[in-house]
Amino acid sequence: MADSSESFHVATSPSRGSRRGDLTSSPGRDLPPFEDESEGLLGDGTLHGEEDEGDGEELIGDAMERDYRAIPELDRYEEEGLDLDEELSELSPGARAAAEEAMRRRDREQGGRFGIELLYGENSPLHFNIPLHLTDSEDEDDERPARRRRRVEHAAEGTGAEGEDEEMIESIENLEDMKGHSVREWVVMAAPRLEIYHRFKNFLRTHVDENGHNVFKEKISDMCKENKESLVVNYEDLAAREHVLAYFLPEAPTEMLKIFDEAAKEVVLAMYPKYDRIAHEIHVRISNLPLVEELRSLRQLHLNQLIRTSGVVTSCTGVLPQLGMVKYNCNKCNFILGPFFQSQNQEVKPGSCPECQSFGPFDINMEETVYQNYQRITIQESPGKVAAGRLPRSKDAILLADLVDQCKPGDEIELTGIYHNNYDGSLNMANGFPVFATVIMANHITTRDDRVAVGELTDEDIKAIVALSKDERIGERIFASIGPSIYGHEDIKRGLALALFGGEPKNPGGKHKVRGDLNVLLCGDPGTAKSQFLKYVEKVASRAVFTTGQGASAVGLTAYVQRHPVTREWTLEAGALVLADRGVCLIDEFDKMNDADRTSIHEAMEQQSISISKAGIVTSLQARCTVIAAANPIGGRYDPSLTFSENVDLTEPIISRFDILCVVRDTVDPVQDEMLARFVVGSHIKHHPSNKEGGMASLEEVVLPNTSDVPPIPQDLLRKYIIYSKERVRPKLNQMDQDKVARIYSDLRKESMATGSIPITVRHIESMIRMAEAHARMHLRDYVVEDDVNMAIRVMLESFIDTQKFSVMRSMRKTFSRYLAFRRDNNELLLFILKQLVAEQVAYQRNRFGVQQDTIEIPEKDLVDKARQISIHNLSAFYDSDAFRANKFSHDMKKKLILQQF
Amino acid sequence: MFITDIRKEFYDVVVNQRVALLVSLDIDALCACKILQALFHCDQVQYTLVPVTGWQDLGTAFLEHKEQFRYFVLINCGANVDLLETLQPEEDSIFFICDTHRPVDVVNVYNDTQVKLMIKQDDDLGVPSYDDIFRDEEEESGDSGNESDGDPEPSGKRRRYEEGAVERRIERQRAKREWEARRREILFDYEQYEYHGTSAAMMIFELAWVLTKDTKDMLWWAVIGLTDQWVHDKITHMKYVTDIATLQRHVSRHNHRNEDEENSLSIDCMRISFEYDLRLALYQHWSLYESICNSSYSSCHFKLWSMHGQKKLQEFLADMGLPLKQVKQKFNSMDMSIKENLREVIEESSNKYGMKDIRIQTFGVHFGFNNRFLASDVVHAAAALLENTEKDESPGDNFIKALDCLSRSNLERLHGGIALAKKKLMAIQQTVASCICTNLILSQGPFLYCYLLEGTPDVKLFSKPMALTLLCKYLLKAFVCSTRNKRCKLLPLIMAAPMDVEKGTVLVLGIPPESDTSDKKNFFGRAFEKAAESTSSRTLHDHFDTSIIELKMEDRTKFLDALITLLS
Repeated sequence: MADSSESFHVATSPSRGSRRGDLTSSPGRDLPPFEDESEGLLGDGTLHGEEDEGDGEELIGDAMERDYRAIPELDRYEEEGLDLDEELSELSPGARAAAEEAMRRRDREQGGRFGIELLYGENSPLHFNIPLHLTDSEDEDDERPARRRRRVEHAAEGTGAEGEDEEMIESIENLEDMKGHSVREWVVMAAPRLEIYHRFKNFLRTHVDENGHNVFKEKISDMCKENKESLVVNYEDLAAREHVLAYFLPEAPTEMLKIFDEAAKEVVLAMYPKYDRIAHEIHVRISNLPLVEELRSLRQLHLNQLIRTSGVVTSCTGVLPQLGMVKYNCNKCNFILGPFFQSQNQEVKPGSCPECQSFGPFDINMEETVYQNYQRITIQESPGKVAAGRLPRSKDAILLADLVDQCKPGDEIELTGIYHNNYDGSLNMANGFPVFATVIMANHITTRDDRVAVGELTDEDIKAIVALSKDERIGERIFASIGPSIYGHEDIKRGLALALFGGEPKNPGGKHKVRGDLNVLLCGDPGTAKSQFLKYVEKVASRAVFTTGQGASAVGLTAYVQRHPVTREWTLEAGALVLADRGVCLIDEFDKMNDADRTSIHEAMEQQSISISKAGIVTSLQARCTVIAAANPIGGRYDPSLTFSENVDLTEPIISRFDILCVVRDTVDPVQDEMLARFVVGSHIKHHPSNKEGGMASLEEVVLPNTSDVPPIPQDLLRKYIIYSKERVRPKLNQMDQDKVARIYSDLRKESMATGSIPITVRHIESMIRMAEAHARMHLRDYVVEDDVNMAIRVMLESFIDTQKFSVMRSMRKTFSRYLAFRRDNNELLLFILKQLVAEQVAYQRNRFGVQQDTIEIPEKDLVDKARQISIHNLSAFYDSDAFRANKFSHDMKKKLILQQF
Repeated sequence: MFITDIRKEFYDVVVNQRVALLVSLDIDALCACKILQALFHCDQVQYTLVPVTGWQDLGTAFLEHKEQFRYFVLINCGANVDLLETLQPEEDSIFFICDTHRPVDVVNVYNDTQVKLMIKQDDDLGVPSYDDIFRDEEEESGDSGNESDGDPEPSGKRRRYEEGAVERRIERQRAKREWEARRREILFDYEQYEYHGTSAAMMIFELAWVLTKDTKDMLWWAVIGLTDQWVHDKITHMKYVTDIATLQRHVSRHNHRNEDEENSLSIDCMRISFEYDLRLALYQHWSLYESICNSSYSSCHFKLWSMHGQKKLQEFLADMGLPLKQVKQKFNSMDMSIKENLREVIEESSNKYGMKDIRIQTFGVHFGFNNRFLASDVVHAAAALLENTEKDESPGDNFIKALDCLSRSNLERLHGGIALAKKKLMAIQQTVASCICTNLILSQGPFLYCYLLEGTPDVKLFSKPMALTLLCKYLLKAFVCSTRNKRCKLLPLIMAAPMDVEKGTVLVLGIPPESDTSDKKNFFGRAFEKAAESTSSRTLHDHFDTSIIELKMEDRTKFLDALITLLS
C-alpha cells in the first residue's frame, strides 16, 4: 500500500490521510510545507522493486501479498475526527431505508439537483440497493410535482406509461432559476423548453374561469369551426396561473411563442384529430398585455421584447407571399436542394449542389416551397393622443399568416408584437453605420370598433328583435328612440328613422338600377340640434362616414388617385361616399360646400355610382349610400315669407334628389320654450359625470314629456334591429295602393305649379314608394299595407308643405288635411288647433293692447267648431288628457272658456 | 281478380291488340310506363299513352278512348276505387291494373271478367274473404219463397206454419242484420288505412324478366321506381330493404353476364352497381355543404334552422377534418384526397352526432366518363320536372319531359331536372325553417296543422301534390326534432297550401305521425271524406291518393272543425 501511495505522489500531508477525499480543493492555510517525500513512510530503506525505473513495479507478481500485510501503525484511524463517544447501533435495513428516504426528501426540497434519481433514474444500478417495492410505495405520497403533473397529463391524454424520452431529459421544477443564463438562452435549452411546453399544454387544457367553464376548450372549438388558425390567450390569465411563463414571455418572445405554438397545436389535434388537414399551424396570440407603450416611447430597451401599442393604420401594402422553407432546383442536374429555412434577416443561398457539385444558378422550386402571407402596414400615433405641439410619428409593422387583411387604412388598432430591428443597407448611407431600422412583428391585432355584423347576431338577439316587432306600437317606439336626448322635432325623427331603414333597391331587367335609399336634408335655424342629429346617426348606423362641407373637397368625397408609396403606380383610393357604400354618409354644413364640390354628389345620390376617368383610370365605383345632410339658410334665419329655394343656397337639381326635406324653425312659444328649458336643465343635472347612479331610468323620465308615452328602445337593440331588418326583410308592394298614390301625385303637382314652390317631379313618387317600403321594413313585414302608404304620404306632404311660403302653407294644409291627419292622435290634433287659437289670440292682444297678458282665454265654441271641421266631436277626452294639462291649459266649464296660464 | 301468370294472362292477350295506357303522375308510374313501352316496342304493339292527373281525368280519357280500345292498362291508378262503377264501361272492356295503392277495392278483387289486377297476392293485402262480404242471391230468394209458400195452407196448419215461418223470418232477418253489421265492420277495417304496396315498375320488370326481354335500362328503371317509393316515404324501411335485395339479385345477374368476357365493357355501356351510399340528396351534383343543409335527414338532426345547429354542423365538419372552403365547392372539384374515404369518414363522425343511418343501400349507374348518378338523384330530377311550375305548361307536357329525362340519351334534360330539384329542395328547406321559427305549426288536438300563406316565397311550388308531400314530411320530422312537447311528437300533420289563386282553392293533405317503426298507413282519406260530407264543404277528391284533396278556401275553417271533432 505504501508503494502504491508513493507512486501517486499526492500532494497531501500524511497526517491528513486519504479519507478526506482528493477532490476538496481548498488549500489549508496552516498546512506544513511540503515535505520531502523521497523518504517513504517506513523509513529510508530502499524499497523493493525501486532499483531501476525502467522496470517499473510489479503490481501483480510473487510479492503481491506483501501489499496486504498488516502494519499496525497504519492500520488504525487517527484521533482527529473520530467520533468515539457516541455509541451508535447499527441501523436495521428498514431504519436505514427510512433515513435515506428522509435524506432524499431533503435533497429534493433543496433543489433536487443532487438527488440520485434525477441523474440516473429510478432503475439505475447506482440507486441504493433498496428493493423496488419499498421505494415505490414511499414515492407514491410525495412524488415531485413535476412528475405528478406529467402523470396527470398522461392520464388526461389517455396514454398509460410515461414516455421514454422524458426520462432522458431532466425535468425542472424550478424554471425561475436560470443558472446564470439569460432568458433567451435558457429558454432554448432542451430541458427548460420541454418544461415550458408541458406547462403551457397543461394551462391550455385545464384553465377554467370564474364560472368553471373550460375556457380554452370553447375557444378551440370555435376556432376549429371556422377553420381559423389563431388562438387568443389572455396574458393576465397566463400570469395568474403560470407566472414563470408569463415572466419569460415578454423577455424572449420569439422562442416562447414558437414553443407555445407547438403546444397549442398538440392540444388542438387532441381535440380534433383531423384538423391537420385544415390548418397546418396554430398561432398563439397574446392579448391584454398589461403595459401599453406609446409609439413614440419605444426605445432600445424594448428591442426583442413583446410590446403593445396603439395607433391608426395609415397604409397597407398588398398581401405578398414570404418564403418559409425554400427548395431550389439545380439547373444543371435538376436535383432539388433544400429545404432551407429562410429567416427574417438574411437571405439563404445554397452553396453547391450535392449531386453535381456545381455552383451554378439555382431556381426556386415554386411548387414545393412553403410560403406564408406577408403584409406590411404603417401605424401612426392617434392624433388625439399626441402631446400638444408635436406631429405624430409612425412605425412599420409586419403581419404574417392569418393576420393579413385584418385592418384597413384608417382603422384604429391595438397592436401586440415583437419589436425587432433589421438590417437595411440603405440606412447605412442615410444615417451612418451601424444604426438599424426597427419594425414590429405583429402578434395580435384588435380593432377599436365595436361594429356589429349580422353574422354576429345570436339567436337570443333575433328572438328579442322578432318579439319587439310584434308590438303594435313599434313604429312610434322607434321614432321615439331616435335621438332620445333631443327634445321635440318629431318629424325629423320620423324622417331619420325611415332613412335608416331604407327602401328596397330594384333592378328591372338587370339594365337600370333604381335606388332604395332615402336621402334627408335638414335645413333650419341655428341652434336647433341639426348637428346633434347627425352625430347621433353616426353612432347608430352600422357604417357611417361623417364629413363637413368645408372640410371636404369633391375629390375627397368621391374617389381620388394617388401614387402608391411602395410600387409607385397610380392607384385609386376611396373617398367618403365610396367608403360609406351600403351605409350612411353624413354631411354637415352642406350649403357651405363649393358648388363645384356639390355637383360631384349629384351623381352619387341618384345613380348610386361614381364614375372616374383620370390619370388613365376609367372606371365606376359603387356608392349605394344614404345621404343625410344639414344646411343653414341664407341670412341665418329661415324666412317663411320666401320659398324654400330662395331661402337656401341650393339649386333645384340637388334639392329634388332629397326625398325628405325637414325645415326646422325656431319659433317663440312660451310653453314649448319652458318645457325645452326644463328638459335641457334636467338633462344637464342628470348627466353630470358624478351623477352616474341615475342612469337610464332618469333619462327616460326626462324624455317623457317629449314624446307620447311609449317606452323607447335601448340603443344597442335598436342598432341590431336595423341591421337585422335590412338584411332579412324585403318588403314588396302590392297592387292595392296605386290609385291613392296616383291621385296624390296629381294633386301635389297641381298645387306646386300654382304656387311656384319646389317642383314636384317623378322622383317624388319613387320617394313615396321607398318610404312606404321603409315603413314596412320597420315592422319586419314582407309586404306593404295601406298603413305604410298613408304614413309615407303624410311624411312627404309635411316636408313639402313646410317648404312653402307662409301664405300658401295654410291653404295647402287645408287641402291636404285628410292626409296630414293620418295617425295623429285626436288629442294631438286638438292641441294643435288650440295652440293656433291661442297664438291668434296673443297676436290680437299684442296688436290691440300692446302688452301680453298672462292668461289667455278662448271661448270653447271656437274650438268645438274647428274640431267639427275635422270630424272630431267629442272633446271631453281631450280636456282630461295629459297633453292638455301639461301645456298649462285648463277648462272652465261654467264660463265655457279654456284658459292658459304662463 | 288477381293475375297469377302475368305472361299468359296479360302479355299474350294484349300483344296482338291495341292498348290504351293510362298512367298516373308519379315517378314509379313513369318508370313502369317506360319499361312497358320498351316491351311494346320490341313486339310492335300499338298503344296510346295518356297521362292522367286524377279521377276526373281518368274518366274523360276513358270516355274519349272507349270506342277505339278494348284493352286498358292502368298504371298506379284505379285499384282503390270500384272501377266499374266509376267508369261504367261496356261489357267487353278489360282493365289491367298495376297499382301500388292499397287497399284494393273488394269489387275489383272479386270481379272475374273485366278487372284484372297485376298484383302479387301475397303482397300483404289482407283482403277479406268472399263470404264475409258478398252474399249469394239464392238464399234471399229462398227466404221469400218460403213466405209465399206459407200462404195457401189451411188456416190451422197455416197458423202454426206461419208462426214457424215468422220466427224463421225474424231469425233470418236478425242474422242478416248481424251479417251486415259484421260486413260493415270488416270493410271499415279493411278500407280504413291507406298504404302502398310493391312498386309498379318492379312488377312490370318482372314481366320483362319472365319474357327474358329484360335489359339493363329496364332494370335501372325498376330501381328508380323503387327508390321513388322510398324517397317519398311511401313504404316502410323493411319493405325497401327486401325489395332492394330482390333487385340486387337481378343486378348481379346482369353484371355477371358481362364479366365473363375477357375484355370488360366499353366505357359507354351502362353499369349498375350496388352502393351503400350517403343519404344526402344530390350530393354528387352539388356541394357537400349545400347537400347537408338541404337534406331532410341531416338538417333535422343538426337543427339547421337555428344558429346553434349551424355551429354544430361546422363542428361536425371540423371533426372530420374537412376544410370549409373545400366543402362548399362543387363536389366534383373537391380534393381527391378528401373524396376517397368520404363515406366512411362521414359515417364514423355521424355516429358521434347521433345520425346512425346516414348510409342507405341504393344503386348507382355509371355510363360514359362523366356520368354517375344515384337512383335518388334521378328520382329528384324527374319529380322536379314532372311538377315544374315555372313555365305554365300543361301536366301532359311535363309528363313527357319527365319521361324523356329517364332515358340515357337525354342527359341535358336530366341535368336540367337536377337544377330544378336543387331549387325545390332549397325552397323546401327555407319554408321549413321559417315555419319552425315563426311557429306556424299549431296543435289542434288530435293532429297538427299548418297553413302556408299566400305571400310565402315559392308557394307556387307547393301547389303540386308531390312537392307538398315532401314538404309535409320534412316539416313533420323537423317539428318532432325541435319541439319539447312529448305529446305533439306522436301527432299526425295536416298541411294546406294555396293551389289556385283565381279559383280560390287550397290543397290539403295529411300524413301519419312520425315514428321509427311506422307502417306508413294513412287514415286521412276516409276522414276527409266524412268531414267533407258532414259539413258539405266543396271538396274535390280527385287525386288517386285519397289523403290529398282540394278544398275551397272559404270552407277551410268548418272543414277543419269537422275533422277535429271526427278524430278526437
